[in-house]
Amino acid sequence: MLIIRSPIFNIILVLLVSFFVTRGIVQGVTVSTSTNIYITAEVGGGGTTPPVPGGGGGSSSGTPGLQTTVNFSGMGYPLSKIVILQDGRTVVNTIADPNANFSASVLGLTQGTYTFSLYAQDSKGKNSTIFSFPVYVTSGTIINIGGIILAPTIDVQNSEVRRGDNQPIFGFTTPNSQVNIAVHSGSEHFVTTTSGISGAYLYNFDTTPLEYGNHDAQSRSLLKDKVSAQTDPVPFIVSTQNKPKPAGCSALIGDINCDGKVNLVDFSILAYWYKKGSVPPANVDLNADGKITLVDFSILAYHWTG
Amino acid sequence: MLALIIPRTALATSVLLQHAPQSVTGMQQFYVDVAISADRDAFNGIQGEVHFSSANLEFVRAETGTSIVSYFIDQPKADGNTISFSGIIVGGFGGLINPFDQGKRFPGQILRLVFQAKKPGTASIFTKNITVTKNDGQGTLSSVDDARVSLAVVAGKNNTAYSFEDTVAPTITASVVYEKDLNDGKPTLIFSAIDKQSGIDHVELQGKNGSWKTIESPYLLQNYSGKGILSVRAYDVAGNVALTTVGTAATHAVGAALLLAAIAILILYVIYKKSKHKKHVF
Repeated sequence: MLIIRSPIFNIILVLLVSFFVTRGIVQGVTVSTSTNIYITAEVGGGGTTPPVPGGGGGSSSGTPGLQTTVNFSGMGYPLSKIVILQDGRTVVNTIADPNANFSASVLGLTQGTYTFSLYAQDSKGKNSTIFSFPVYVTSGTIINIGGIILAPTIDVQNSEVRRGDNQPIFGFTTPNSQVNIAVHSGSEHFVTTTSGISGAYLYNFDTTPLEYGNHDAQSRSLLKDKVSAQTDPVPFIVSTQNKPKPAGCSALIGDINCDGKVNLVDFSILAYWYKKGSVPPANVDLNADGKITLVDFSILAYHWTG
Repeated sequence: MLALIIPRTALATSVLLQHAPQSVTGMQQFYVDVAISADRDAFNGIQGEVHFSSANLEFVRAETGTSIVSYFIDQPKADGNTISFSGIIVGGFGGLINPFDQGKRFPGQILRLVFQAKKPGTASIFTKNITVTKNDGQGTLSSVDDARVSLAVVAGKNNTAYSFEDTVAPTITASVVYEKDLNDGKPTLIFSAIDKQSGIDHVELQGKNGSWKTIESPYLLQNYSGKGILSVRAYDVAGNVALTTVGTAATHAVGAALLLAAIAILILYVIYKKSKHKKHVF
């Protein structure tokens, strides 16, 4: 991390921001789930007032010679892989420490608009939902984005579960944290478990109260006063039989060529069929409507791993 | 130290045409930014059209250097008086954050369109059929209200050309892939070029005879045997260029490594033989 020591860098502007999200419900009680992400920005002396994004011209401000940097810090899972994307391109791969903390920097940026995206990958190779951050970067400044608590990973053992049997719901999150799991159906069901020192959590959900049909599960974790982002819903069916989830690349939506990533190669395959205009193969047609449209690209972008 | 705690301000999703001058003189170049503001329901895909009065205006180019779009599906292209485009924003867009002004979310720029004034009169520039997809994993479509600006083209001559000060070269990455669902598994060049200033103008591939040809990704490599180095270069609008090579550079590296390993084994063998010989002597 670049440290400003010279007296010339004596003009420091620090601003903090918090994003207040009030969506989580735990066992019927609404809780404040503020994810306290903060941003601080520093600009050295001699700089001019940073311009408003989208302004005209190409002039830059800030401190000449000062390496423009964005620093990230937060929590993933113990020893989990942390990936940072810059406009969809992987720029940082790092590992969280045993307490799940991570910090990383993107250096040498030029002035402009960037979308930074972060996700964690657990020891089973499953990715968290992406945390994304579109930010305007002024030349010669250092931006610190901290307090990021990445969403847990979540999975279920069975794609179909016999009503009355247990459905194991599991994943990884911050260690020794309360994990709130919501199972959505006609009426919502909320349960709580705790993650271990490795960040792993497991809850055997009794499906007796669930109706036959489609359901999904989501989770988020609470570590002291810190609240993670929420997982994407993972679907399952309550029926008269147990059917384990199929293995293979079908688990990663958008991974058209089954290489374990959703990236430019998959984008190129979609673009090829989009321009070709003919009926695409089933594995390429992400929303199964018989054609490649913006919708398919949107699904791909959502599941992008870089 | 100044510290503020500011709640996130919600913005409705709407398309904007920004920075259009009120009037321009004949031959004068100017730009209009196509931008979009977003509410909490972030979007990650956008497509649409920009129409302009072709009697009064001539389209010069589209610049994408300051765009929030990660990958364009349809590069912005003019056909008559219509400029169409589409692209995705990886991670989604829910409003741009300026770290020095965190009280609100700013619109994100999609395109900068450069025009040149032609015939005097009132010219219009307006968006049409703008559609976004929500960043919800389903690609839920949502239409956006159109935006329109008018400006006066007055008689006279002003040869001022618009240019973006840009001395930074773009970056480009490229690779050759063999995918069954892409050109039936035939060698295909895919690339990604970025320029955060004036934006990418075009990308070229060097042919066997040394000439350069403009290409788009993905590009089917005809008669490519998998041997030899492919040179690909990207130009930004300001004329800065970045070059990358793909193909067998890695193969050369592997070959060199194997050669070094063979030499090392040979040296060890010679040393071993010599030491054995010495043992016999003593």
